Amino acid sequence: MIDIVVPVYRGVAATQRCIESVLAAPCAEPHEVVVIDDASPEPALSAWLRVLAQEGRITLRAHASNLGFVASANEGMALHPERDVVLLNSDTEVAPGWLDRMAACARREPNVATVTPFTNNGSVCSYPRSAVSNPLPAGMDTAALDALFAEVNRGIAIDIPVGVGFCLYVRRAAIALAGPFDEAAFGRGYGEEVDFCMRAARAGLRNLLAADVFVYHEGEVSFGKVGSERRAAAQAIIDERYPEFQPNLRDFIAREPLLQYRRRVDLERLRRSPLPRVLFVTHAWHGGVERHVQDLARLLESHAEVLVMRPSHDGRVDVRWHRADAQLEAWFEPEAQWPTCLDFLRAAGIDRMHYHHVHGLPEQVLDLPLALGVPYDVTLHDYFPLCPRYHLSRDGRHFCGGRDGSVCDSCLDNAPAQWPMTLAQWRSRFHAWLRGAARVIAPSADLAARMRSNMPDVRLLVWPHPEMPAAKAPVFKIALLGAVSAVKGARVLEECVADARARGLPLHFHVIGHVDRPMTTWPDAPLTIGGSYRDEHLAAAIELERPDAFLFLSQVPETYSYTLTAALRSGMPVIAPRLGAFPERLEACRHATLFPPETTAAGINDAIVARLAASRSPTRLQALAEPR
Amino acid sequence: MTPEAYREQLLAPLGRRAQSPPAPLPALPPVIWFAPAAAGVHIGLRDLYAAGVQCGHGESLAALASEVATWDARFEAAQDNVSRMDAERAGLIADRERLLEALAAGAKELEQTQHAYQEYGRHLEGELDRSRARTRELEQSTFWRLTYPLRSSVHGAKVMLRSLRGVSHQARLMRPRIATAKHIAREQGMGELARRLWHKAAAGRTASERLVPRQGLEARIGELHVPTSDEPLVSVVIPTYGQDLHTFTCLKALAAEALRVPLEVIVMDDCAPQAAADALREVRGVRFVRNATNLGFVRNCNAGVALARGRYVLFLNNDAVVAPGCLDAMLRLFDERPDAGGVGAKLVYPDGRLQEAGAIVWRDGSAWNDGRDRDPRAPEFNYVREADYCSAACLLVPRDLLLALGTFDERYVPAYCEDADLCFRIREAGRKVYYQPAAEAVHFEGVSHGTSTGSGVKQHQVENQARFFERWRGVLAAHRVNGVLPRLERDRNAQWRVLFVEACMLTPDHDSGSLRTWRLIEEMHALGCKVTFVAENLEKREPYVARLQQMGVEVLYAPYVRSIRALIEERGAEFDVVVLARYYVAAHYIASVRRYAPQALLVLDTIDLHFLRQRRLAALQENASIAQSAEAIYRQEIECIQRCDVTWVVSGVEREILAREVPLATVMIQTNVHEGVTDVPPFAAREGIVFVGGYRHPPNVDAALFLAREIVPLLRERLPGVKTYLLGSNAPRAILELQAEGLEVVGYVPEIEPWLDRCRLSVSPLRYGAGVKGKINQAMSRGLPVVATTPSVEGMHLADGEEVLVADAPGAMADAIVRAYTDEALWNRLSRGGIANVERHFSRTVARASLAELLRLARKKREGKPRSAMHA
Repeated sequence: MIDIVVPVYRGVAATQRCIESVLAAPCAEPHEVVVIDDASPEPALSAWLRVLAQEGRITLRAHASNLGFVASANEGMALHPERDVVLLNSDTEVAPGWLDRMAACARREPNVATVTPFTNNGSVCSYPRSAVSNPLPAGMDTAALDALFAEVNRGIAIDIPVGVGFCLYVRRAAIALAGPFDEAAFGRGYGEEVDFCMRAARAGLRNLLAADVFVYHEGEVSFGKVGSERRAAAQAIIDERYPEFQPNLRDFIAREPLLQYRRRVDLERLRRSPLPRVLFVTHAWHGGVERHVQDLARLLESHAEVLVMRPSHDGRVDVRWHRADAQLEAWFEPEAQWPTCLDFLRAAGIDRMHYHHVHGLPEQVLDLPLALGVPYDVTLHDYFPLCPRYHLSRDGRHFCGGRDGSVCDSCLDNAPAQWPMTLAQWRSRFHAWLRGAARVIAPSADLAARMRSNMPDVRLLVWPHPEMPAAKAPVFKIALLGAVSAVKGARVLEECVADARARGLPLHFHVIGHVDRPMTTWPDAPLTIGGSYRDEHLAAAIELERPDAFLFLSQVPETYSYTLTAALRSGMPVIAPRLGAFPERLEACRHATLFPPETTAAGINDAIVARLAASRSPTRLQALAEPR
Repeated sequence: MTPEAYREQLLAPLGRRAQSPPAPLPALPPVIWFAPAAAGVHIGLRDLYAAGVQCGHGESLAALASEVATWDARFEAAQDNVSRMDAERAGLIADRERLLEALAAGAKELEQTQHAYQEYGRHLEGELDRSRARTRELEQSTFWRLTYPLRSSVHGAKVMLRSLRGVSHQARLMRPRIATAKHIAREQGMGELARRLWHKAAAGRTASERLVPRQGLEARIGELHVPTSDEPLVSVVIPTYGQDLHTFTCLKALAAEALRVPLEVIVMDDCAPQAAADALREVRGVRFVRNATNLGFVRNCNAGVALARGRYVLFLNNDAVVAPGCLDAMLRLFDERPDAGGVGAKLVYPDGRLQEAGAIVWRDGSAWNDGRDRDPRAPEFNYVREADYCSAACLLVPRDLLLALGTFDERYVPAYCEDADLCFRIREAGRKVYYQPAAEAVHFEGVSHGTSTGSGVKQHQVENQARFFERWRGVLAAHRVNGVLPRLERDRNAQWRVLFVEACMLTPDHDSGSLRTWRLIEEMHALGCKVTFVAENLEKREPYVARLQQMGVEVLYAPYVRSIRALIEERGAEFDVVVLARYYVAAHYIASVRRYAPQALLVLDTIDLHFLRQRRLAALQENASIAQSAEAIYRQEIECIQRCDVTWVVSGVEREILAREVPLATVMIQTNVHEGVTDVPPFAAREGIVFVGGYRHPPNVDAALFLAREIVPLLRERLPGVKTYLLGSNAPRAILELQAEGLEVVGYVPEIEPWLDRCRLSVSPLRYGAGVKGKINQAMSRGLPVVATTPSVEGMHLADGEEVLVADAPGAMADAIVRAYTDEALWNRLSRGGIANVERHFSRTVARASLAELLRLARKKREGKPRSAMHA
């Protein structure tokens, strides 16, 4: 008989989901669900628990006052001093058969102290990424994911430095040997399970992870914000008591013994996808090829599983499942691990390959379709089948004409091809390879024609690259002149920029000159700093920038302002504070707006928008009516 | 086209996926899931500024920003460094003061000695004057006969005086040097003094002293992840005592190795004042173990081995930094040499000087680090060989062997001589200790010994050397006396020393002549020869040099050898056999070999008889000037044969010709070496016809042209669709232009075997030539039938119709090709017959027997003429 102990404090919905999942999950192991109501401040929660207890589905212990998680856990463990115990947080969810697998893991060997399952949010036991809070993968619930773990990692247990408290199976022998949780030191929770596991480890017992169980954990419900402070205090006690804990943990994280069991599940997720799998092959550079690969991968997202193979900077071949919520990525040595790479790709069930480039990859990458028995497409982005230097340029500057190949060997003398080949060997290798392709796609007729003139029997399709429509909205350039220091309104400028960004106003601020502090600039904020200029160049700089309006933010009264003269000469609208020399100098100006010196940044932005609306044609100004 | 339409088109052939239950997941090694460490590319600030600020490159700008952000901290660290160095400098100045005092004391001692000599000299001069006076007296006396003994003593005194004057003069000149020498002799023993003098002399001989500095220490201890494995192949045991920056540098280098080799790393902190785990707390993946008390190097290492789980244990000093690929290279030796019980690395100093290429232990138990202070790229330090021992600064040993031997013997506690002793015990257990030059480690020697250093260390060294000598006295009796012939002592176990001189570097993947020589060298090596190979052009062509060196062959090359003549002059005395390949190479060096290596058996390897080949070309082309050159070659080649002890030919036919031409010469058949395969792809699985030939060999060019112009056109009609492939390196334009229907010029292929297994037939349409045809044996050894011309099968012991089809005219050739290509029963008979012929006449067994016979002749020669005293 096993006791499943659930200390409860707050969070009705999460707690209901947790306890209902425990009650609903069929398990062969005989067990008793023990709920400790630690004086919950939510009467509905306590009431719901009482009903369950009356129905005889749970054993309920209710506290008159709040004693804390550790005391509750100890009480639960003390209830039946001969039983193993599972301590389960109230914000978890379990799946059918979970307890059987946890118990099997715990009984593998007599010296097991604790067993922890995989979870989405539980320190080093988290999946798919370690030590962070992960959402569940799209389209999967706890039961589906747990079933996957159960199948892929069947019977696998790994030693971990300490168990994790969200769901901790504790053997009775370990409690006997190491004693209960330390209430005095860890009062209301955090660190007590680490302390317990370290005591057990020092007594020669093992803390295991059951790699074939997944339990969902929401996290941070029971303690809320107070958690992080309490966590730091607990950490200090642990560090003092167990100086080996941090090194052990660091060592464990460095070795990542759980990594392969996470990735096996990832791989299995991929294998179960009903979509066809396409393997893209490309290089590791940026630019058009990468853009196309990304565009295409996004375009195919809901229609196919895309894997991308590219060279890694350490000389290995990198294969990655291109899906936002997947972590599946593997690296293979091109020589020693090529068979492993093939095993991996076969296991992934590749249906078709699509080459975009082969730069940086080993030659055998061309033979992959044969090895995998799949058809392949090729999209040409440059002239690599013809020219081992890819761009038909001998010197990197001029087009070489690139027809008969008679000068190419001497070209290769200076910079050999990436694989040891003469030009003839290179072309004949790629010629044969292109002939074997199901489709060879050229994005332009010009490229197709150049290919045809050298390799007339390669069947080429001219498909321009698919391009998504780009969002484009009108924007107005607001210029500030000179050295924008604090007294000239640098802080206000920052606020104006932040406000324009937050409200999506169609304004872009441009400082012709410099500012007195580093500011967030474009593309992170609608601001560009043009840099200092020499005075005689100001008029030319304004002409070059063609601003839609000028903004002055002086914080103290200006005595004259030469820069204002420059702004006025351009004939564009001027927005300035009603302060110092501005009112008298702008009196005659039709396009000027004066705002009171105490106006907020948002108010100034509104004044700019109003001024532009008043002085420009309505079609261009529709944008002003509806902020982006 | 809209994006959606593009997608439709792209996915059109795919359709919906058939869902079959997935097969079980394959076993995948965990290492594939580890992401590579961030690329450590260093770009200078100036470049980052230019690219980022001036050119507007975003990534450079970001890199500049993060680089600049670290700058203040780095400046502070540098300042700390400066103050630490100031302190060190103060220490060094104090040391220098002490040394100067010692030097002054030594000089004073020398002065006193010199003074004593001068006194003695004056005394002798006085004696001489007195003697002269008496001589004159006596000469004038009548007892002349009685004065003989006295006269002789006067002569002795003169000689002695002269020599004493010389000593005194030398002493004045050498005073500073002698003081150093005396110091070395007193502190480190006479052996060390001998070693230094030898290296001083050797350094003068070495042409190249261009040293390449190695990587230094990391700037500071930082974050590091060593991706160690749960199932390590190698357990790295690093004894430490402080020196954490060294340890960090050491671990950083290991981290890169760990991507290739599953490792675990155990740092054994020998109770240093600051715990290593603490100093290196940002290092992940490493197991830190701290001893409760200071155990000393020996016990600390032993404790580390007890914790190790890998199949191998690497002893690595914390001040040693492995170069990329070091572990692979060391492990490879265990794979390639089943008798390996220990493998050591090449240790270099940070400034690029060699520190140790294995160690030599002398008869008195003292040891030299072989190659110390020399150029680590010198050929003599770059081939795999046995070493008396390799330093435990970087020593790889199988763990089961260590456990069986009990690791380091505790009689050497706390340290010194334990590594030498371990290597001797490895040999006692029947295994060998190898030096692997391809594995390099930078060793900041003397920084740390993984134990507390202090007074009494020198004493341990002396005591342990005595213990070591006691323990191994019996074994050491067979070693040379300290400092005698280190070059020979280095390969003490070589039974024979063979010098092989060829025209060019061997390229066994390009031509069958190279392949033959390569395999002969392999066989010589297997027979216990130390082979020294040199190409006449002194080239160092990779990867062949490296492959030979890994086999254990000493390969010599420029600039370390200035010329073949200088080489023979300097080292001729050490060889038992000298092989000169090709008459035009041999002609230059026979005289040198006779003069400087009179003890050596001199072998001329004809490869194929050049004059014979040339005569046949002349006949084929009916060309008088070729005929004339053939006769010139004939005279030179025959002269070489007459002047050498033994001549190698590749076939019985050639031997018969030479038996007529040069009846007194000892001619041995040393033919090509091939291995017959058992797994032959069947008739039905093959297609195409293949011709193989290196086109530097003129008969092959003729044969390829003959095949393409006269035979392939016939085959186009009779075997439509069957392709003929021309393989081979260095194809001239005339061959490249042969490409036509049914004929493909493939050119050089790195591996020829796949072609021989894929094609159905090999042709050898040679119309002239001599020797044995490698292409035929190579084809036959893989069970590929051959259709050949009469000149091709000469000397090959092949029966027409059983092992080969022979035809000469184009029509007959085409007939034979069609028969063999289409008749499966015939094909099978030829395939089996060919393999059997290779086994009978061209196998390794045949080659080895013939080489053994050659070595018997060498022994006879050695015993007939006593070898020089050097070899005693």
